[in-house]
Amino acid sequence: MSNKILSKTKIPFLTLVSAIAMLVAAYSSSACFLWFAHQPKCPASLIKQD
Amino acid sequence: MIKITYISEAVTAAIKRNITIDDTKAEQIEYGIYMAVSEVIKLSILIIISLFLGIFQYVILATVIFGTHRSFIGGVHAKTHIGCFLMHSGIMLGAVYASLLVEIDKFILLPPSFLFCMIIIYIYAPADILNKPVVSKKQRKRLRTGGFIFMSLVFAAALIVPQVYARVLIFVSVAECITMLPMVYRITGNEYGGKEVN
Repeated sequence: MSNKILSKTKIPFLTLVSAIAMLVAAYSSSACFLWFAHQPKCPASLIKQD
Repeated sequence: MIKITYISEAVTAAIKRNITIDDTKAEQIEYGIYMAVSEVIKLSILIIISLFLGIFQYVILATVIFGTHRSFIGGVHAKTHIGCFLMHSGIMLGAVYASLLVEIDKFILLPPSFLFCMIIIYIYAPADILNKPVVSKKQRKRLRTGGFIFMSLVFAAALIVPQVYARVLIFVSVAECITMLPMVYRITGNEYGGKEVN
């Protein structure tokens, strides 16, 4: 029963997590820094160029 | 001790197994998860400490203002999570306690603080680091303008709010500007990231 629920909700949950993560990454790339989180090496794809 | 990297890598691996995404997207997702988890952990600890100390409302105000300043004008970063947390908590709690204990009238503090912050923003904003350089001239201009506007709004708000809140606004803004100074970069072993585009 719990396995069925888990397999049904897994994809929407992971989609939601990746959407939130993308949003955070996008905000971080358009800001100077994301608030005060420790700053790891930013992926090159997120560094804006002219 | 669980590293945040383990969490972000594990979640990204689970996403890759179940959803079709390319490597660039996966890298961005991993970065986003890392940042979000790091932020939530530090904020939660700081909120709990502030609740115990009975200064919750001041710490929340200081955190929101300091965080928004950083989004626009940057500043130094500690090299480790512990260092980052200690530095951030030190600035937040220090600014709040200074606001509560140092009873200087806001109208005396406001003019020199505003002038100091505007000069520092003009010279150094956006103060980035090598791990997250701001290389786009358009983006640098946008961030600097945003920094000027937000700083002005914070000082305008300080004019109308009660003394203690006004001092919190002033002290965190000044602290934020101090984190942009070259001397602080040297002390903390940081380097400006996008200096070559200035």
